[in-house]
Amino acid sequence: MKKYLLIITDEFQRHLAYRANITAYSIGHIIDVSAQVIIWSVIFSQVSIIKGYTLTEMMTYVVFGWFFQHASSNYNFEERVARDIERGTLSSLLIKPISYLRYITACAIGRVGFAFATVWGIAVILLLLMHDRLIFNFNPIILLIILIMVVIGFFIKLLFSLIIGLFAIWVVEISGTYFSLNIIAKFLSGAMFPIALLPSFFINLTLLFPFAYTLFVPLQLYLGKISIYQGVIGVGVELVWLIILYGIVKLIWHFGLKKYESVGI
Amino acid sequence: MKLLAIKRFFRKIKRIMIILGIAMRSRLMYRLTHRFSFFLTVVGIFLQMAITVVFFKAIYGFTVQISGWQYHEALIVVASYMIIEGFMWATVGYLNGVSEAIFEGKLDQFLVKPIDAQFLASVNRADPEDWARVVTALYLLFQVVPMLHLTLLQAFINGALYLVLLFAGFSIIYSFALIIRSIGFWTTDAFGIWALIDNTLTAARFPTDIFSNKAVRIFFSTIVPLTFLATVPAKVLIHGLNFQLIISAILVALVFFLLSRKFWLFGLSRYTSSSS
Repeated sequence: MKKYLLIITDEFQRHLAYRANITAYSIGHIIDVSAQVIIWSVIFSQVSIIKGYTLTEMMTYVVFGWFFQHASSNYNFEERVARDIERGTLSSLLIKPISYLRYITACAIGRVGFAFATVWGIAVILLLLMHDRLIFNFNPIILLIILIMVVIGFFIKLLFSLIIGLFAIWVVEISGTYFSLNIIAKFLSGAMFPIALLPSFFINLTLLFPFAYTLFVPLQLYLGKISIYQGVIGVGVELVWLIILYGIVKLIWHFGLKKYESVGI
Repeated sequence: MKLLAIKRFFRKIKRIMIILGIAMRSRLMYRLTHRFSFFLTVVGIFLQMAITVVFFKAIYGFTVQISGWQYHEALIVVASYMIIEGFMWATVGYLNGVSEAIFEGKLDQFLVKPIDAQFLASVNRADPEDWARVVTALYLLFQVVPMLHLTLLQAFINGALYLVLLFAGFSIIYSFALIIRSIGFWTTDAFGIWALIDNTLTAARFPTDIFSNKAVRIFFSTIVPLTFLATVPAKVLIHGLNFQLIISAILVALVFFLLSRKFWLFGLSRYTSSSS
């Protein structure tokens, strides 16, 4: 366990080395959220309710949705896994007394930990600027369920990344795969816009996939649009998906290692 | 003497075009070595456009116009942005190659060649699959332009001006990206800066008239001139000749291009060739 803690710390510190990146990311996030806030404000200047959302609810969706998204992001770890396979660096990791899958998980935790720390800073600025336009829900049970959902959501996204990344053992180049699948995942999670704006059959369809539970469902719970009971069911669905994805990763890893050719070393 | 200078200029342009052609052909060959990935990227691009259209359709289901823009007019802005974005990816790979070259010290190989290093660093990472972006945007454009009910002459004039303004938009976005990427000369790892470009440009997918705040409007017309990327070309295509807009767009494009060139050269003087 100690060695993985070291990997987490190392990943965190590695990102600290590039402070300009942090600044750029932060400014970019502020611009991104501000643009969305302005766009929705303009739309809501002409209508008071859109599919059950008021302006305040939509602002809350945008700001907190952005926060949840970055707190559970996989930060393109599929690319990292694929690179390890393509360049053969996986071989050097395989001979070390660590599990590669755990190593990647530790790196991802370090990465998201760093992002989380950065995002908090921006979140505080946004909350100060927009406090009168946001809904604050301090129900401890709801907050706990959301926290669980976001944490499981992070692991779901990570396992999804691992599945895509490990496909590099067979196809080498996976950029097209993760580009397309990430668009679908982002759309289904409700990160692009609330999926509540879409027809109901589509919403029901998205609830079959795990992505809506990483952002859309926690936000619905936060906004009080679904009950605590429905939130708990959401956690259950997430857990089922987590187990399924974990099984798939293990299966791919098992067969992938047999196929792995250690090219590039 | 003048004639000789013109000849030399055209010879240089011809040379640049030949190199651009070779760079794009070799990138296409490289990308096609992984056909499955290439195909999936194209699918992803189609999906991206479809989702954007679905989003606009969803919000216009609740209102007839947003800041004076009707549904089909807003789609022209979307299509215009996608054309420029598509060209940025397909010809210069959004200057990803510049960041990579600085970070990995690969810029040396461009500096020693008898061709402008900025040009070579720009075109070496073109993403040919992004021509799909241009094609889908053109398809969208041809679907909505008939809704403008332009006469043949209007369509011709507005269309010609639209092309000029798209080129100006491309020039602005290229220059803006180059300035941001050149920061990498000081910071080495400039990949995070990509997030800044990406997030900033997201706003250009919408008509910039929605930014009613005066300070925000000035910001998006001068410091980060998003207005001139897609909104101005779309306005000219819809409403026709507008000297003020056209001249402003061309001037902003020129100023940004010269600024970016100066900044690139300034940055280049600080290049340390790390990890090369």
